[in-house]
Amino acid sequence: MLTDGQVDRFSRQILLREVGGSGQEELLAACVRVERLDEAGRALALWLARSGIGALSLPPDRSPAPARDAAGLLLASDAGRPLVDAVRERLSFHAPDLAFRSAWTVESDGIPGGPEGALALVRRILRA
Amino acid sequence: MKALLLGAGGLGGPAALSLVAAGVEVTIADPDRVDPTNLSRQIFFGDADVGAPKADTLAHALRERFPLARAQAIDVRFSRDNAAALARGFDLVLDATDNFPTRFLANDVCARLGLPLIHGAALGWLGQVLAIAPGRTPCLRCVFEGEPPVGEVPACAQAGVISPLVGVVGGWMAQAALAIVRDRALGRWANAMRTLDGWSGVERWVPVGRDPLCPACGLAREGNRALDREGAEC
Repeated sequence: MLTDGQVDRFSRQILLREVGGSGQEELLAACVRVERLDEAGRALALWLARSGIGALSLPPDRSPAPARDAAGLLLASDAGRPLVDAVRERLSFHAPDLAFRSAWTVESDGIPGGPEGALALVRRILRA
Repeated sequence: MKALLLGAGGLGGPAALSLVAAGVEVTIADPDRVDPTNLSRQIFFGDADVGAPKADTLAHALRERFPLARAQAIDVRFSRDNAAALARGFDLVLDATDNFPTRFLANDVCARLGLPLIHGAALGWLGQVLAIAPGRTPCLRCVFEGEPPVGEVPACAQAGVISPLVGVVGGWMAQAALAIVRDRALGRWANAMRTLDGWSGVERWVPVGRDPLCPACGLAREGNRALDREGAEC
């Protein structure tokens, strides 16, 4: 059951016939695997989080975060931090209730990065 | 390159991000405040920003990501009273607003001033981008003639929108802007509107053509443009 806050937050999606309250609940119940934390993967994670995907499974990439992120997720002040730590913290800005899990329910094989990939995955979850 | 971005919301945020990352100076005009219903798709606003001015919040968020970014905010509505004065001095305008009167106002003002305009829209599962180079490509009135009757096309608040679609369309707007001001060779943007049906996943380049009788950019309009430049305001 969606909370009042979730109904407000996702109201524009819930209005869609293909989504509705039950579709938004399906999105919130999903855990999507993000395979890489490169720029395309970070943009994919950001848009999945904004769309109301409930959980993400991220790779344990501890390479240094870049100084510039054209995905728009990381801040300049994140430069040099372990990438997965910075990504998790910034994703929480986009979706405070987002969970991080090791096991996933939705694979993202063959899905492009960025909002295009998020759109394809949202569609896949709603059609399942 | 200096771009005027109308609208700091779902389309404006991703468009501004791509432009700033490419080194474009962006001035963001939006009088609205952040609302909780914005948060599923307006990616530079968080829960703590609810009630804050959108344009200023977006400009700040861009500078947090790119400290050398040239991003300014104007907390005003683009209207008949200020449109020409606001647009003058920019190399290009991006229309990321969500209402027909502003879209056609931006179209007409840019046609009068000879400014390139990027039109973007997203509603439901459908998105579209049209790149308008005055005198070279069709304008919004060539394609759509004019505003639909009030109430005929629902707004986002009534029809809804799927969140990632605005990211795709906003990114396309930035691509079109960079093509139009950098390359001068517009490629497919020259004679087609790019569209996406997010539910089917089908992307199309819909052929469009100039209307010689277009009241905004047609031959009669061009003949009068010299007079317009001498001081007539919209």
